[in-house]
Amino acid sequence: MTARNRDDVRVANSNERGAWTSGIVAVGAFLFYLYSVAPQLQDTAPDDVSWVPAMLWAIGISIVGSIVGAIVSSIAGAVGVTIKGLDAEDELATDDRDKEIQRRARLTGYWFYGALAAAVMILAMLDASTFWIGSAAFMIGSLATVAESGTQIVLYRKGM
Amino acid sequence: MTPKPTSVTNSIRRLRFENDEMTQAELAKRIGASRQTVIAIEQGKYSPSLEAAFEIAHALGRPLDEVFHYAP
Repeated sequence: MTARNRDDVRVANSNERGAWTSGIVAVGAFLFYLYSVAPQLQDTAPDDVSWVPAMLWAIGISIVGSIVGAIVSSIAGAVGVTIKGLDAEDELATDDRDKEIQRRARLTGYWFYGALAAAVMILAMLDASTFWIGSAAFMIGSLATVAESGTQIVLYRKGM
Repeated sequence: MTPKPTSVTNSIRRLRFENDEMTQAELAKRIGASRQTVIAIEQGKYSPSLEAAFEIAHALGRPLDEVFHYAP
């Protein structure tokens, strides 16, 4: 492939790959949590649901998943760029555009973190079970991560 | 979330060709940005900072208003 032919070959850099990884890991961890606690609700009162171990496992999965995902996506990125005959250092580098995309994505996430604080406060005021408070916080926190990741991916692909 | 359409267009691609067929990678190196950013700018998916715009114009050897155009 000549240098001219490489024009317009789109490559996801480390930030964009990171956005995919964190979004997928957040969804996976939340689904694990849901799968662990939802069946208990059929025959157990919310106060008696064993949700703390499930949430700790889900958080552990998201931490390990993020680390493994970052390693795998870095390797995949480098291999993909090499296969396309591109210079890995050039293609995977980040610059001001990446910072701007991250900044805008964080602003999207802040809306969810605000909602999270409000939801926790309202549930506490209503004297809700700690299961509902913890679960709402985890769900909205996961949504915040997905929203941030989604915003980044849209901005990378559609522009800003 | 729909990205805001930009009113700024550019002639970077044509001017690169006129500049000894400068590649996107070469232009990116000259302005200190990634090639992916040059692609985004050329396709109107990203408006560069004023300083980066001047750097692009300088790298292409043209005045700024020959490289970027504003059509409100």
